[in-house]
Amino acid sequence: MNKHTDIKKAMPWWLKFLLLLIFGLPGISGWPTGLFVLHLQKTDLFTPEIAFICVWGTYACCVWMVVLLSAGINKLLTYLGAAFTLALTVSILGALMRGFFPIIAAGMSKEAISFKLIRIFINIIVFLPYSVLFINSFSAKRLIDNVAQLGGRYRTVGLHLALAFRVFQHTGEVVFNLFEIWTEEYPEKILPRNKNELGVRWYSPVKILVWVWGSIHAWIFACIIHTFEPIPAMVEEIERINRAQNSER
Amino acid sequence: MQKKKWTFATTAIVAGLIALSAIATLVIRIPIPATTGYFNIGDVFVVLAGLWLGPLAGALVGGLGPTIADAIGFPIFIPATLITKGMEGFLVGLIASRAKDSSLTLRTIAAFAGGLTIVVGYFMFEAYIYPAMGKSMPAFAVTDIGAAIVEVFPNTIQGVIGAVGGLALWKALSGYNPKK
Amino acid sequence: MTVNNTQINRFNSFEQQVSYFTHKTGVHLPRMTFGKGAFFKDLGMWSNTYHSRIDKMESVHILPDPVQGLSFPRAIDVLSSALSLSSKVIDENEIYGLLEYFGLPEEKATQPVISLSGGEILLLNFAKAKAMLPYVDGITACSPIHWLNENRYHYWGKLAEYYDEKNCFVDVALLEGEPFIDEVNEEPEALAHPMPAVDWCLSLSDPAVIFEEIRFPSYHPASKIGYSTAGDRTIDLQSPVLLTGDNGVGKSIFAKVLSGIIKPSGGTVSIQSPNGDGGSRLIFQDAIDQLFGKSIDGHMDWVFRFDSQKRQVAGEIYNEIDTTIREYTKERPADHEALGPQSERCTLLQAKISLVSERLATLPSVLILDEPGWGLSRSIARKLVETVCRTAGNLKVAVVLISHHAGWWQSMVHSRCHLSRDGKDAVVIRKI
Repeated sequence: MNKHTDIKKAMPWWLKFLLLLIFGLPGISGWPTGLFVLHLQKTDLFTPEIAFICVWGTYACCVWMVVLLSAGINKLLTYLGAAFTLALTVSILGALMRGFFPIIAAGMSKEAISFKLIRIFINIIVFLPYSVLFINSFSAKRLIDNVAQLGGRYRTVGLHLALAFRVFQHTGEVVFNLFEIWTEEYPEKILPRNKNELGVRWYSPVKILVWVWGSIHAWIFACIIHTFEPIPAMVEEIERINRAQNSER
Repeated sequence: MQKKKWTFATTAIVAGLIALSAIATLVIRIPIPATTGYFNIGDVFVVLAGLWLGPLAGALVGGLGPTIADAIGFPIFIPATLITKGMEGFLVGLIASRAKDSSLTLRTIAAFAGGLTIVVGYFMFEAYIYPAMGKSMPAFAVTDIGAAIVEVFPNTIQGVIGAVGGLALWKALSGYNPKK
Repeated sequence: MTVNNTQINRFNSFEQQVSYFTHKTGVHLPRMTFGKGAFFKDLGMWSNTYHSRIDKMESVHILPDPVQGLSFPRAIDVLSSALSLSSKVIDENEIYGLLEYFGLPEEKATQPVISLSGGEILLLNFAKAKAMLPYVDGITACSPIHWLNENRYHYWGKLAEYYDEKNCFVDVALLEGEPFIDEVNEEPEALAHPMPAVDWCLSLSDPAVIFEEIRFPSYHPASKIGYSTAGDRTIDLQSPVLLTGDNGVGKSIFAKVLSGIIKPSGGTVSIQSPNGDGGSRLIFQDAIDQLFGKSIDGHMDWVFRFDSQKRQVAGEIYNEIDTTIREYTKERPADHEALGPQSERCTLLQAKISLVSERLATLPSVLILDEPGWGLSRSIARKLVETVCRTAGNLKVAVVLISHHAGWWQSMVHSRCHLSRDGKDAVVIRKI
């Protein structure tokens, strides 16, 4: 067992849910962070933007502390890695979009747009770890068991839920597997492995774009096919269990 | 695959589509700074779910898939996404369920109606609902009518991509339909 | 150990085996090798007909890909749902008892099924089948011991005995030549001509692979595997090489490290071969997945879209291997089913040939074949591997075969390595 406190086992699920919800209130309602920002502004020492960054930066540290205490340092670092990568990618894309399509700025000043991108950045680095902690704090198995124990048609609901979770799990695995297959086939990931004829012509960049479009198309269909491939077998299995449990009743 | 009865097979396929739409929404995110929203391609699976499995499945895939993605990084848009994309999937399924066999016309209308739902839904949320909520809950004060108008264009592109992509996927899947 | 109620059916091709399974159980497995059109057609056919099918008998199913028949997220869920058929209150000790009975350690109970190895998944299927015994009339299994190491075959024997005692049927679909308990395996024929050898070296500098725990979107437990050699850091090998090891020891992970799919978190792995910087290519156990959802021809065209010369080379290699096997099957008409019509590329064997040809055309330093015999009869598997090794040898490409069935390949390899656990996180590679 992990030496850090495991939220999942520490308290009743409703208390966990309530505490996590309260802790996540700033994201939904802006309270109490909005109040702190206003108070900081009133001191005249902070501009609204700096006050926002200070307060939300502090809130971010609180969220990370909770994740650290409940999930441990390794998981916190993993979540932060993912969060910062996503946040940087999104912010940089947003900045690029501002450059290419000024109209989407809707007349806002460059500083205002920059601040919005900073807000997006902070949003992601705070709420990605929080979201993952939220998801991991509750046991899907316990939910299914509880529903199944209700009896009657709720037992069937439990089977539906179990099947849905299994398919979710399977779909995640599909994406991992496809990524491995893609990496084996295309070690450079965004370029074809066999590309002797690629740089030869002047229109090669167009060919690359066509290849990228084709890759997206291939990925979409591969995800669908691999996701749906085991569904007949899984459904048959659940149906068999359902029939057996019905005959038992 | 238009089923009147909800079976384990429907659950499995809907769960798969929810997961795929969440992943598709997460993978490609191009932010729109004016509204702090973002452009994505998850609608392809929402439209597919509506066309293939009907209004209830469409609503579930639309309501849950992109919402799961929003929960990771853009939680403020959860209410807007839940309702708008849920409506999108529902409307697509509702119109498409009246189409005969593999008829494309009504389904095309359904798909583009779904795309229109994104544009109208997000506009309503960003122009009116969120600013109203923002008066008592500052976190929702992220948009205004000007920003909502600006986002109409990228949302339209998103709706069109979702409609075209969803239709193309449905066409590929519809080849199996024994009712043809 | 003789089991009276076991009916063994042998088939010459994977397609025949799957057809039999579908006929017996009604479970339609969509065809992957035909491309997306056929795949969705099969899926739709199943979805519109499965409800109207009336089964006279209930049976437990073990599919060719055994993970597909597990519909619950974790091993403990699979077994508790199976046990719940006979008892409303499930004792957790009963679940652990079942796992232990089939050689699975306790910690596997709470692991998601997708994170278990192929052999472990099979054993979990056996445990599930035993738990469901009171409520089924029998078991229908495809190649139930193919993924297992020989020292675990007896678990199937135990399961079959239980079913036999309850007068439940045991229906097994095997491929020709596939090993089964209680059967004497024929000695493989000696090769008519010596296999070309390719000298190469494998150097390990304590590579370690660390998997962090991932919980979303799919759960993978944390684990660490460190590889080392028994003595020198460099092992001199002569291709073809056979790599063996128990279930779950880390053979497939090692293959992925060699081919660059997984980068070691520490240490290094390097290969010195005649093709030098060619890199390593890998064919997974379940080769069909590597078509990436395309048809066989579609995959070849896609991969070589920007290199028509290599496309041509790949086509020539494909034709060479295809012709050799067709010549071989002329004297064995039953085996001809595995190859299918020459004008159509649609069988598992053709998929494997296509994937091999495509990889050989890129002249890698090493070609790794993970369980190349899966889904093939013994005779066809041996012919395929022999032909691939010869073709690769002529191209100076080293070949590594990863397999539990050492007997199938022993006469055609020049070197042999064995992986074994030396402690919890350490795997030792020994040349034997």
